Amino acid sequence: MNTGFGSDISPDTIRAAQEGRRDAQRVIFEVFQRPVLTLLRGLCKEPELARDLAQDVFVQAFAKLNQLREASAFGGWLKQLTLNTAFAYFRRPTNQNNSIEDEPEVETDDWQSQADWLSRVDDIETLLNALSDDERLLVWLFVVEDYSHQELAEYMNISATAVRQRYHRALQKLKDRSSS
Amino acid sequence: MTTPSTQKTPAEQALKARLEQWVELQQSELSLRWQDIQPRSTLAPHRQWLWLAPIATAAAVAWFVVAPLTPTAPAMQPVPPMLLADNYTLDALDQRIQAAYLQGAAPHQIDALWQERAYLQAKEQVL
Repeated sequence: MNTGFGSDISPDTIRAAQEGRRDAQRVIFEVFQRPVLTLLRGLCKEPELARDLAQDVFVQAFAKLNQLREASAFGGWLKQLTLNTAFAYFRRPTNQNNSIEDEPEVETDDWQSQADWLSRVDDIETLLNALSDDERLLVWLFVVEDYSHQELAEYMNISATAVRQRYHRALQKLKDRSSS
Repeated sequence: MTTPSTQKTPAEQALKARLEQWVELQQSELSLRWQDIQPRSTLAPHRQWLWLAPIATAAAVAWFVVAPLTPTAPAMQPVPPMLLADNYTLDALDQRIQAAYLQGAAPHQIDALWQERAYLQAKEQVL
């Protein structure tokens, strides 16, 4: 999904922001507010949480902007920072609502081979909210953001096999909920 | 940013379309205010040093409690002020008197040294 992290922003604006100029930082904020919020909204069940995390992302971004060497890489850098912020939040012990490893393999042929079950879903948000935070992260980043299972495994510090199993289980849960 | 590295099934493609459609609709309800994005260092400049207050208070209290209990060696064991010129002279006189005895000096010379020493000692006591 083109969430807008590739938006053009002039290197001069980035450099001015690195020097601490608030007017330049504001330009960056206005350009990238939407992609940051969009990505976080997809990852978070609550819009308020997405907003809080987005706020944290921008505060961190302007504090760490001097670490950015290449101005043209800003979009990717900011997306990485956004993901790191989300993962850091969901990795907190109090926010982990279930274990990740050693989950049983699920049979997924039926939902993979057909998409008609989705056409019966009226409220996709409610369906999405049936997933745990970890499951939602995996589904959103794999399906919408096109991250691979291997990349997600590295983010979540678990094996790619565990990611695949968990992802399949999450999609099976979505399908089961859609028919119930 | 990322390149599609895994082929999506029809179900996944359909799900992706639904999710993208849903999150687009969420846009109108989501926004941040620039005023909320304040750098931590400038959030409240006049409060930047407030975190030091409890530490400073604790240090002050500790000082008042501990300082009176700490033995102050120089005050309890007075050391002769050897850096005074008269003390150097007195010390030198003692060495000269000792040397005079060792060298078999004449009695009047030794008496003169003792008188000089008595004078300096008296002078030190007066001061």
